[in-house]
Amino acid sequence: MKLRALLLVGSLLANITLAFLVANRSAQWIDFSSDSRTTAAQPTPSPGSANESAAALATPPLSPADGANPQTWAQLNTGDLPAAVARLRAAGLPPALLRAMVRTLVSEQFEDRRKVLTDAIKAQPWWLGESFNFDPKIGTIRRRINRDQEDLVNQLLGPDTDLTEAQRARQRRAFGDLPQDKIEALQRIDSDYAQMMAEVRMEAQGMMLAEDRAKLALLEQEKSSDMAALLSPEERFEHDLRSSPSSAELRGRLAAFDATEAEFRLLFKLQKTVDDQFGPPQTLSVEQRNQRNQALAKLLPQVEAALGAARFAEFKETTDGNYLTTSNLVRRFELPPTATREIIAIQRDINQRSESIRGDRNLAPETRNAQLMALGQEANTRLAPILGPDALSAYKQGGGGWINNLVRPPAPAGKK
Amino acid sequence: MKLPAFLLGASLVANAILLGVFFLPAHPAAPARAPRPASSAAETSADAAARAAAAAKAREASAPIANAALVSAATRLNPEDLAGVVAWLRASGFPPRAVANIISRLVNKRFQERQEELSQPADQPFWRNADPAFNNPKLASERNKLRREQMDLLKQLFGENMMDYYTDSEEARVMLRRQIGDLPPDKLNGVASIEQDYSLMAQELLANSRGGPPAPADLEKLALLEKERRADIAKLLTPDELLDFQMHYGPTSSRMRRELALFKPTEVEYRALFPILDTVEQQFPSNLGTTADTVAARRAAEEKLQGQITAVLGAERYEQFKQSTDPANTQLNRLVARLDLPLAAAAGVAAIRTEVQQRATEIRQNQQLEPAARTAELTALAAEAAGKISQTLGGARGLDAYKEYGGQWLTNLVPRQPAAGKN
Repeated sequence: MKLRALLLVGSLLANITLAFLVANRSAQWIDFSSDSRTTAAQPTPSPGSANESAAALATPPLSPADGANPQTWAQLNTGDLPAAVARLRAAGLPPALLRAMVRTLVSEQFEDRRKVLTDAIKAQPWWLGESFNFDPKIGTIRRRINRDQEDLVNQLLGPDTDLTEAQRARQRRAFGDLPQDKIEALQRIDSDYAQMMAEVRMEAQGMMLAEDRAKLALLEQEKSSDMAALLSPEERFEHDLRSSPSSAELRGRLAAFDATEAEFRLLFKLQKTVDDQFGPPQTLSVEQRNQRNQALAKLLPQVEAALGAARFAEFKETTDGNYLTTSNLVRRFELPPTATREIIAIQRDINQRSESIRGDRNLAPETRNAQLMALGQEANTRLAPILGPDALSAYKQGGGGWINNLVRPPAPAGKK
Repeated sequence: MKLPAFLLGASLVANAILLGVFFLPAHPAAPARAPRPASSAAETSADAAARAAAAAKAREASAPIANAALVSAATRLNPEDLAGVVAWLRASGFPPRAVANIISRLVNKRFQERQEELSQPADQPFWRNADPAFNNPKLASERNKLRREQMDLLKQLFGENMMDYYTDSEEARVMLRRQIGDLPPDKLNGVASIEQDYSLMAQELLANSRGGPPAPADLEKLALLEKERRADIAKLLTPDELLDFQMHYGPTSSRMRRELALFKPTEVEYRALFPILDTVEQQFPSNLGTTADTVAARRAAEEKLQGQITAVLGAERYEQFKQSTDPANTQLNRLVARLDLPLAAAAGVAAIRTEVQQRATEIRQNQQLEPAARTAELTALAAEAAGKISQTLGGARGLDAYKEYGGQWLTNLVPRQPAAGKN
């Protein structure tokens, strides 16, 4: 009896407590339960559908700030990033907003390191050095902080897979058909070594010394080993064909040649034999670069054999420095591609005639200068209809310096 | 007796029901979504799917820790409705720097695809060089329109006091002070707005030259633009503020920071030199591209100012100023800086070169010397020069670097032997 009475009292007390807890929790949900009342009866409209605007008209949406809790930032920014991420994920925030918020929360955790950076900036006299990149060491601190922040964001959320079409296109161009996990690993290798190489270059301040080149060569070697561990020899070849200093250089050299894929592959294989011997050009001294150029020149018979006589002739013509410069200008100003050959033909003709004038010992200096100036004017007249005024002006400041040499007024007497 | 038994039974049943209600999943209405604003039509189906998946995952796995305000936000916030996101972030206690950080990322993301379309070729084959779309003036104009749109959006979101958001951190404030000085906060937004506008106009004009130097007609327009920029800024600031701003920011300041890096002026010297060098810069703006003619005219104008510069610096410092700013010494000065040597080392090497080249000329012009004797004397002179330069530049490391950067004359001192078998 007593036991039953006790049980009854205990049970009633438990009911009161539970009822209070349940009621209290309902009050906490007021913001979204009222939300659900406005929407639960309606089917969720698909994005962009006609239902969406109809639904929006029928029930005016609540302001996004309604129900916001002024403590949310403080509750998220506690330093416990995994917990903050879990809360944000649990809330189901849109991915773009989730990533932006996590980046911001991560950035807050680097305040101490940013203070070191800030103090270093403060210590620099404002009137010395560039406004932004005034000290390589400060640049290095900043890049490391940014990289570590990005790493932490990726650890918390995984890599950003929300790529734009252009980013996907760039990835295809750089990595071909490699699986995504290998692409991500390669990107990581690339960015790590790019960072270290950038630091070497930054320290060099545009004056690469032997020791800087040695550091770069070592980094290149280590990068190559890391890539070899990740990729099969075939994958490595396909990667280097697309994204290596050798392929970048080759693409530049062939800019006016209009190579087919098959031709590019052939030429890349040949160039690779030289690059495997010397290493990337950036790690070479002037003397080594000269040796490398000689080695590349020795490949010409093999290039001819690979391309055939007709294409080899085009290769030789279009990879000449003068042709490349002129052709770049023609492309920049969207002129017909035939303009390149026309300009070079005029240049050859005028140069040949100017050499004859300069070599004619019977001419008085005044007559010689007058004839050269007339030639310069003729060059202008012949080039103007091909190039137009803007491109002609650009040409004279770029590859067309030879015209300026013809029309330059003669040096005053007594000067050589 | 029966009543208490019934009561006990009913109470226990009520216990069970209440316990069940209490421990049910915490978010009964979660699947329902608030109506989206009309702008959500821009959201892609992939975005929608990702959001739905994330929300479902969150409901299943993490409901117990879901924060009501966050869940509420998640159902309403749409990254496309940036004004809504700003309002929510502010109401949720996010500090201005965090709001600026988040919104900048969302705005960049929104414009990224369109920017890439205007600056990157869509899908170039890997064996061809990507066409430099940035050299196309039509695209440059489109890109500028997009940038303006982006800036207008940011202004719309943050109001006219946008800079307050971007300077809400010690690092940003320190960088800004370095770049523009101590401008009063109320003038900061106005200055930033003027600078952004002129920068876009200048970029558009520069794009006409398609990556090359600007045409003379565009140079004139750019010079006019620079005058107008200065005038607009001058209207906004007091004369003292203007002078301090220009000493920190602008073409003269940029040029002085770059060219005086090795001279290392004191702040007093820098401030004293600024008005002198600014007169030349206003006459021949160097940040707008140069031609051979403007370079020569600028040099002539600078030459006329040497007296004033000497008066400001004194004779000794003036010599160092000349050594560090003479374009003929640029490479040697940079090398000396790279080797962590004082500027005097560059002057020392320059003096050795002048002396050695003079002696070399005398040897070459000495008709009484046999070719072999001449070569021997030049060889000895080259060795002597190398020894002195090595000593001045701190040893073999410095000498080797010098041979690569500006010291080719050392190698050319000795006449080359004709290759065997060639005439």
